[in-house]
Amino acid sequence: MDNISWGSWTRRVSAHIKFKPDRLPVEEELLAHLEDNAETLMKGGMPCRDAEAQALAAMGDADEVGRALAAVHKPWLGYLWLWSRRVLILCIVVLLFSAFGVAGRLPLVPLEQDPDVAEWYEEKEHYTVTRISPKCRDESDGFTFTVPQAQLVHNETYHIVYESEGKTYTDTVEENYSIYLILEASRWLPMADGFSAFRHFYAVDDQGNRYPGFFEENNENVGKCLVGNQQQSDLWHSRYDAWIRELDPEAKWVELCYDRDGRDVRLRIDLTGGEGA
Amino acid sequence: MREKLRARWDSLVQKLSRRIPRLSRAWRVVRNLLCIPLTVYLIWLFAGGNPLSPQWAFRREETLDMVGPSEILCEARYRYYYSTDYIWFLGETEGGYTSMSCSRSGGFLGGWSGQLAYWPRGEEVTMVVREGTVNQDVYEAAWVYLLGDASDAVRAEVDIHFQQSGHLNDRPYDFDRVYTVECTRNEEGILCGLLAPTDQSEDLWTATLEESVLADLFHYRYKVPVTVRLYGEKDELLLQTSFEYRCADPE
Repeated sequence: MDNISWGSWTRRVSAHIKFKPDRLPVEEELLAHLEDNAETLMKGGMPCRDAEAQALAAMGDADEVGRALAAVHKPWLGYLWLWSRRVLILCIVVLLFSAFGVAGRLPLVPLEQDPDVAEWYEEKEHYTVTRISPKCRDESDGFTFTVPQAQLVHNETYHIVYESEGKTYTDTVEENYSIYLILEASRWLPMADGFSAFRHFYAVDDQGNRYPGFFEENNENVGKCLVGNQQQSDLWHSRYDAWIRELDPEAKWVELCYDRDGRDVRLRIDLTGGEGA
Repeated sequence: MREKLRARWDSLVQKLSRRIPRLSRAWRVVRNLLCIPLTVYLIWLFAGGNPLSPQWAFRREETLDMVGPSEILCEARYRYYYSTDYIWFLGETEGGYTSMSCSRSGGFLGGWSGQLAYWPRGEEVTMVVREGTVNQDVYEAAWVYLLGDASDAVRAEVDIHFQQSGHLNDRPYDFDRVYTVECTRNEEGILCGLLAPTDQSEDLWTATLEESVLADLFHYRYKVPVTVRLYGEKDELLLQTSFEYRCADPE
């Protein structure tokens, strides 16, 4: 029996397998077995043609072998594997494309590298900056709130003299205390758009002052207020770069509060101590 | 050439997968079926994570605004001119009401988004206003919703007093007008009515003035005096109350 006969035997075996993509690999494997067996027989001194015929005879009846292999190669499992693989590859390709758009939102840059207000003020005359390390923390609705950075900025009264169109003008900057801080909300579920409730925080201090929040009535017309800009840090952290204007110089602590719809979040920042920048 | 490439590819695949433990076909199916939802989730997340339904968007904004969760009282659909469709939700929480107009966001995979407004519960009646068809400059209509415990009321009248003076296109104006909105129970049983401009003149300046003054209703910086009268089945006055209305949040 020659190789053509081997081929027709293997095709007859594989025809029993219903999952067509498996047929060719099965045929190749059966041919490899036949070649190995024939080679072994030839090494024992058997002529080539006889060895090939005997190797084939040893494999048994094609239909019987085919039925046995068909029982192993279940078509539903084969098609499920094939389609799940195709879908997964497609998903991975789409994922790679979509990943380009979010590089900036993954936590690749440590959050501690945010710009420090103190660095900006230390070059300026008339300003004193004190760094505070708030240890405050509170939780609500699955969010954890912290204040990773805070800096107390004080400026003495000073005058700015400038000239315009041949005239000399003098502006006075009054003495002022303010606190710059970062308010952070984090949770284990992603916050794709960031924590929007930041703008509804307000602040109070131990002197009975209230610093209204961003959207509170008339906050643009009063000096004392808590304002800020929401900064999306990454999918699991959202930050609010905030500052309290016209902080009472007598205040020993200031508390950031959120109390809408029955909530009670309080983050108390101790203003005593701290280190000068 | 093709066979050569195929052989090289097979050899590369073999080389790369040599260290990966061979799994049976059943286990490979299990692995793939687990990886597919994970990958789909990552794609959704990377594509902006916009909720795929308006209700989902409403609930997520409630979470991120830290109010609610609310019981949805009303759902309305409206169209922004001829383009964007909006779905508006009105919900009731323990301490007040939430509302949000959701629209489809563009971009990869789309999704729904919007900005939530929270209205603390008023002493007797809470007034919530929804846009009709509005753009940045043109005001066309507003739906006024009255919420509270007055379940006996079958209709209501809302007097909204707009008073403003200033200049529009270098022409001075002194606008002082009271609009009365008739509210009746809608399908959801909420008292609601439509506020629309009344000026019928063809003067563009007058029409623009009215639209821009009425648009203050949607600006959180402005307060508008309002008087609400609730009437019972026999048209008897059940309640009359006055307060200053202020939009809950910027748009």
